Amino acid sequence: MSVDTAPRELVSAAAGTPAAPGRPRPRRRRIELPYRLLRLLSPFILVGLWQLASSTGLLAERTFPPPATVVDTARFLWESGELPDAILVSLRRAALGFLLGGGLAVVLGAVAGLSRLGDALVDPYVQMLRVLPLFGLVPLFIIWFGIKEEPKIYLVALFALVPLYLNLVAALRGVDRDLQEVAASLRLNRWERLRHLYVPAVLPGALVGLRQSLGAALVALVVAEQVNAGAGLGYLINNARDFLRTDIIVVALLCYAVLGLLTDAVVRVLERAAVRWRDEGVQR
Amino acid sequence: MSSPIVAAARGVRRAFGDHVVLDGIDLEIRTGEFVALLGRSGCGKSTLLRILAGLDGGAEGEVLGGREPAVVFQDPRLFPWRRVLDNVALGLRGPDARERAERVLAEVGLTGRERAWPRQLSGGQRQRVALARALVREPDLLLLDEPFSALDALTRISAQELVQSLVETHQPAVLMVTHDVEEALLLADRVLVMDTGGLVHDERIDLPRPRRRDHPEIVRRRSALLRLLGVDQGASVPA
Repeated sequence: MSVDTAPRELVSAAAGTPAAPGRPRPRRRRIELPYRLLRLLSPFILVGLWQLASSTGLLAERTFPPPATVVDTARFLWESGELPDAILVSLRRAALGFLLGGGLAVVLGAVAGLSRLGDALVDPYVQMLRVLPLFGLVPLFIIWFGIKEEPKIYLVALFALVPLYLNLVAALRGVDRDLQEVAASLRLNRWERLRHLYVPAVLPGALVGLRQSLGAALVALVVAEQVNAGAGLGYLINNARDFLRTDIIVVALLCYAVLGLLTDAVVRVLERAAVRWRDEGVQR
Repeated sequence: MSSPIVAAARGVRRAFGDHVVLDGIDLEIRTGEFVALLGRSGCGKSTLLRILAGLDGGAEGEVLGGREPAVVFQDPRLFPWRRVLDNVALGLRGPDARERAERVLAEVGLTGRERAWPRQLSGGQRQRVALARALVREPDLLLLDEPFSALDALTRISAQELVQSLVETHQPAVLMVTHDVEEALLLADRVLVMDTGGLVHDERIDLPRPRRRDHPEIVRRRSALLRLLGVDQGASVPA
């Protein structure tokens, strides 16, 4: 529409300031690139130093195996099917525990964040849970749920619950009052408010919580699997310990690390999609 | 004055704790009427607007707030995570919701910006989106809470002209809260002045439109209104 262009130019020229925040953008982009590359390279630098320490004899083979041995062991364990089985078992525990804890966190967080009554009823429990040394629960969990899958899944769930809940409640309380007023003046119904206001508003905070929860779930998994595991990565580690196979222990630990990195990457992608409205450039 | 009443307040009182903001307000707004509400900041004029909009539940007295009221606030208050068109169509129902939103966006001169994020617009454009969001609902009562005060001088003039032409097309009753005497005189059929919780002045402006700032009648009435608002003419008449 040709009529429209004239006032628009007038406005941007007159306002002056709105155009300014867009300007530093390209500079920031240019700095970001080498950092991202470095981020990818950084683990390989560590591996290089590790290989160096092993070849010079600084690291004894029995204390910590060289990278080459670890790779060999990993390949052997993978081909024998032991490693894939262990990963699947551990992954299942982490996923079930996380779904349970994360689901509870969303429900409890919504209750506490959206109503003062809910907050008064729910929040004290989670605050208590937050300061409780959760590993202290392991003996109780064994007595209550035995030594099979249940205690491990529940421990992961409890660990995953807290960070997501805390971040979700904080984000819900921080939803802009002005926009809530707009929703009221537009007479949006409950569903429309949830969809257009609350969910997009709390998403960035909730995703920070999700990331912390996934990390916590992984920590809980490692601990839980040290206790009476008959399968899984923890079982692999326990078994290897009895035979002083540090190489197998390292392989299993690396698997935990890769799981952590992968979940983190997934959340990063989600985060970027969730704040697209904030990151897409100011073009006029 | 035979046209029906769209919004009314009778004996409306509002207190925040011990502080009484509105004390016995009586007001009627009729179909198609453009009412400007003037007053110093903190005199309670925005509170009255919020009560009529149904955004303030703590008032006593009788309030009739319009069948379909719509509010434009001082700041645009767009949902930053929804594109321009979706912001306008918020809460619209019916299969033609998007078409209606597109049509009103065209009326405010924003055709081609439907897919933009609010952040990508200038302040004036954002306020035009807020105006479109209010008008697309075909309100019988349009409540404007200092809608131009956050805009720069040039943008403000074009926004005022836009509001005038939109009100002529859509014919809602309008209550506009402002502290700008000239703006009130340019746009309104009726100017009210509020002071310490009560309406102290009610004046009809029957001048033809479009009105000019330097029209002698406008200049004369502006001086009178400024005196009423307790502004010392010698020192602070806006240029």
